[in-house]
Amino acid sequence: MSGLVFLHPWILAGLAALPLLWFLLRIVPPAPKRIPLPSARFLDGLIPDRPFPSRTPWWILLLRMVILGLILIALAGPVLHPGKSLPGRGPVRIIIDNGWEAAQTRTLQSQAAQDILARAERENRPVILLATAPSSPSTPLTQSGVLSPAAARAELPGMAPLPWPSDLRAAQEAATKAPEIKDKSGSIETFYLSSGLTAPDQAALFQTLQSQGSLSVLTPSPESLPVLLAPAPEKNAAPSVRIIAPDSLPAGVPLSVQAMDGRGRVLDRVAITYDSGKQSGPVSFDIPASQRNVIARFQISERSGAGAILLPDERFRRRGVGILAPAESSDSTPLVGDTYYLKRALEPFATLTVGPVADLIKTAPSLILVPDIGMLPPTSLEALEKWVKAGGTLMRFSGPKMATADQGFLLPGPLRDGGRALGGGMSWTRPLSLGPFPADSPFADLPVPGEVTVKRQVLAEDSDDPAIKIWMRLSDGTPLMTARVLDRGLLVLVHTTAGPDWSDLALSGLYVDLLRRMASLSVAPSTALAGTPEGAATLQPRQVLDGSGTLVRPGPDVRPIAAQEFEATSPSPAHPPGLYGTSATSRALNLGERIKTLVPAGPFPSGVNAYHYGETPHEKNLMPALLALAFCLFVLDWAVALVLSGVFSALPGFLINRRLAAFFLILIALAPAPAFADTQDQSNPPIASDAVRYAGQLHLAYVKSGDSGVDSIAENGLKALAETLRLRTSVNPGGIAALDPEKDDLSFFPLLYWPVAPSAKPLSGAALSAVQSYLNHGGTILFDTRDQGLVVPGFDGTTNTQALRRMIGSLDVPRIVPVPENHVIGRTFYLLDHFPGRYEDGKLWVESQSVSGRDSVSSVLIGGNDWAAAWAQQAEDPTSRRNELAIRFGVNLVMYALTGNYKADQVHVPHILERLGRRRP
Amino acid sequence: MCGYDGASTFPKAVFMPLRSTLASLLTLRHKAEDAALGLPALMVEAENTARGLLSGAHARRKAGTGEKFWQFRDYDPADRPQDIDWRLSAKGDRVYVRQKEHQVPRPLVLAVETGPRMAYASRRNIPQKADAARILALGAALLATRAGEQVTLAGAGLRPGRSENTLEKIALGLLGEGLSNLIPHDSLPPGGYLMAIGDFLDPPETVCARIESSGVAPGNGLVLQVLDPAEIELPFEGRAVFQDPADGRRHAVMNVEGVREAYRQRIAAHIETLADLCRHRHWHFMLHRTDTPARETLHKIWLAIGPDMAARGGQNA
Repeated sequence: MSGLVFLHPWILAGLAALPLLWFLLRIVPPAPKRIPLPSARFLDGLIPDRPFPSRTPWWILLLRMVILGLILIALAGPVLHPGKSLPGRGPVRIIIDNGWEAAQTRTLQSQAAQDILARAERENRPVILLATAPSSPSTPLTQSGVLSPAAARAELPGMAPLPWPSDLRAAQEAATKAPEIKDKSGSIETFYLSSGLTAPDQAALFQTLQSQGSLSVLTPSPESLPVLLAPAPEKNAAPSVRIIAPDSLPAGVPLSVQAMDGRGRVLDRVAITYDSGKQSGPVSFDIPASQRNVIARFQISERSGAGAILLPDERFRRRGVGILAPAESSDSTPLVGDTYYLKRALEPFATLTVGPVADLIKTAPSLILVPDIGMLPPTSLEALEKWVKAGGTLMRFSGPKMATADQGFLLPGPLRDGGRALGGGMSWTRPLSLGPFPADSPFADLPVPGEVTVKRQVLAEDSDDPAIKIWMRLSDGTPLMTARVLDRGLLVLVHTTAGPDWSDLALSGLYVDLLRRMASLSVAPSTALAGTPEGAATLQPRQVLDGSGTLVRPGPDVRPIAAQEFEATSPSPAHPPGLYGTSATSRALNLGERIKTLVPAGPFPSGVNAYHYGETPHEKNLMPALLALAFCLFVLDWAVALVLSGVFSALPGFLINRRLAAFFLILIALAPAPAFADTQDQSNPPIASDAVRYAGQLHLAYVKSGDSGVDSIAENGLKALAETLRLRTSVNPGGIAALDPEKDDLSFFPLLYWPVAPSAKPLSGAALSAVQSYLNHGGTILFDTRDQGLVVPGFDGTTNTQALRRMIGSLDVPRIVPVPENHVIGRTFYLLDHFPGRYEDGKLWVESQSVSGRDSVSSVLIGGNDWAAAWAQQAEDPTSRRNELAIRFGVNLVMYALTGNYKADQVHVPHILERLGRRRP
Repeated sequence: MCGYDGASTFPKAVFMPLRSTLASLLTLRHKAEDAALGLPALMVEAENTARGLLSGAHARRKAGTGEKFWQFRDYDPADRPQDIDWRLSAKGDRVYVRQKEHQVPRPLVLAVETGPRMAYASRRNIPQKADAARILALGAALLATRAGEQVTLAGAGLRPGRSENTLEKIALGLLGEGLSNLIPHDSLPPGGYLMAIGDFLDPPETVCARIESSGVAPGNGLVLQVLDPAEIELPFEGRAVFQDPADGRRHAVMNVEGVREAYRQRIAAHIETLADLCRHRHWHFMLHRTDTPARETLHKIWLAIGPDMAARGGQNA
């Protein structure tokens, strides 16, 4: 099984002739050296005193013997780790699993196939190939004809993994059809290169194969078994996925899932260590809510193929939720009103809009929450109804106004007047707690908290109407939440208040879960109810995954899916996994949503020869390597012969020493690769050229925030500022420099722009001392928290303010104050009285009293107006007044840093003029 | 050291005599100066030894042409009137003639062997024999002129002299080809001191005959044999074909190690024969190996011929 085997061992007999060769080589010495010698005359007639004085040096002899030996051994065809010879005598059939899971075992399978083909080639056996997944819906699976091993090898790349599951029944049918030629024995020896997962009809296929000849099944070792990425319920609004793996996947296999955006950038990556036998819990991604809609795919980074990819669709997106607040009712009780509770519950998960109907519909929310409102103006009501019918979800809460309203609007069903009160001072009933969720409720999996009680509710007129779904009941069975489909939209009524007036619901955790669930259901209201609205369109394929997991344009075989059948559709050649529908209503068909469990292949029926891939070492033919080595040695021998005959005596001195030269030649020839990998000295960063550049001309500089988006904005903003400076002033900046205070020398730059990213880490000691020294030696830094935040010492402020404090908290900076009126920074070039950036209201803080020797220039300026963004915008939109003011501030800032208090005098010009005027007689 | 212009002439150069490495006059002069650089002390020594002979003329201890006063004698009618020493004659009745000592120059005659055999160096880092010979010759000439002696180069048609011009002409002559006649027959000025430099690898009879025929008086000569270390030691190994660059004859040796001892004996015997020959004629004999510094040999040369020239001149008077 292992070791070395020769294909033509009889050639090795030639090795016996080597001693004879030794003898021959010994007496045929190399050509004599020719040496000029003026005193050659004295050698005349001298006879050496040894009989066979000149002979081939032993090491040349050895070299030549080795060359010949190598050639002989190479010709004998040595093969390292040869596999067993193939069973039987008839054709060899290779069946390759090429369903979605094969993308994860592809290399193992193709290596095994190559090995089998190599053996078939040696034994001169014909080969039949068969794949298990149909390549298109129209062409049934067929096995190839009888191929030569070389032809089969050319066919192998065509059997690449496909993004849908294998169809073993089709494979069985294909295998049943008799191949064209029959061996005498009539048997076909089959190798089944399995992906390691079992599939339906596998037993039948094996039976068929075994009836035709022997069957060997190769499976991956447990740690290489395919896994599947599936969606998981979201946890704390964080996108979550889970990994479905076969039970036999051993514990400790490192897997990690990354969330990527449409351009393949990794947004987050979470490592999982899989516990054997358990399904992995949900993996949550820590992605800011604003970035959530950017996620284009989740992918297991260690695996490839369609199974390792999960495509989020529209249901996954963070959606807009509107809260209806009639314009006339100014919120007089902001902390106890219903709106407040709704807002607090949804704020982390959804983009909220509060306002009248017209405003809400403009923002195209998927869910509109209506707290207790008795009646709406007819125009609003019409618009709202139209919106619901077009597919919106309206969730109403009741309350005193609804209970007393003459007639309801947009309700799942008519209500009884008045409602029902439980408990209270004049009643002997107790407030009721919640009953279990009905089975068909979308909230059926949520836990029912025992402490929630309902004191008052409105009652539905007729709770037996089948169109009205009851999603939530009180413990006595009274509906507490009802829903009804209205055209393509959904009406939901909660029979109690959104606030804590009538019940404790708003104070419980369930309230948040309910609203969250409603928000996610609202995109596809049809899924919330068993009855799907009529007239749903078909979903056209938009982008589909290929076998390797790349999104491609759908081919001609891909068929659209009817919307109502989407949930029941499994990936197949006609419906490969991918995105279906228009971009607004896209649905993702994911393998992970359709396949619930993965079952490892085996145990196999008796007589099946099962083993893992890679159990036999990879077969390797050593002949080319040996011949190449022999050739190298031959070249070496030739070179040595040249050296010995004195051809190189005119070469530089070190080669003249022939023994040494020969030794070096051997070394050079034998050295596999020069060990000069690291010729570049990494310890010398090319600072010098930069330093010369920076010192030669003024450069605007910003400090890298660590966030590439922020940095690119800063870069563009400074570019625009530099251009403006060039056009309008005598300042002629040479370029923009991005700096890392830890590594770069800051001393070339009179002014640093320092955008603060929320992710900013505290500065290291080296960076802190560099910045401190920069400030102490006359540098000026503009810190921009970019959030309009109030930068008040001693107040926690915004995220970015905290980041700023974290970052430079230990810098020694004098006391700062808001820019006083008539500060010189408002006079240095333009006359400015405020300093807008992207925001206008943020304050700019400067040192209250500049240290002497700084020319009254503040060492730090801190603000939050996101100036760089405005400067960058100014380049694109120079007409905007705000952008113009922002760039004027930039010009003033540079002038301030460069000229100091030069213009400070002008601050007093009015006074001076006044005084002059007074003295003028 | 001029560079060896490698690739283009590479295959040819393997069996061709190596070109002289002294490309220019300046290089030669520089090398010679360099070799003589450590020798100011020797100059002093030489000057001490030959004090008073700085003119390059050697006193004969008899009246004759010269510049030093020798004696007064009575006027003879055959004397020229201008030889009369009037100051002495005026002191009395007798008329005296002032006689000067007879002085003749003893030029140093350099004879340098050239030819294909001399253009040989066994290794790259040692000079060719011809170059070593040139450097030694010019170095000796430099030392001699600084000591006030006259110098000439045999076979170059030069008048003996001690000027810078003479040195330059000698250097030019050394660099030119065609000085193959080792020992000049008759071009030697009378009383000259011969310094013959070459490898003297010809059979001793030939060398002997040439020394005999040179006509140089016994005691007035120095033979400097310049040999490459490879010629003395035969450091080669294995099978080799040795080729004489002069006549192109080949001498195949099956195993150099086997003949090395015999060869060394032969070459040592040859050197001894030459030394004997010189000793017989009271000439100096010296051996210079090209792998030793020229300065050492030059030192020895000066130690030998400095007193020699001075003393001999005195004795011969």
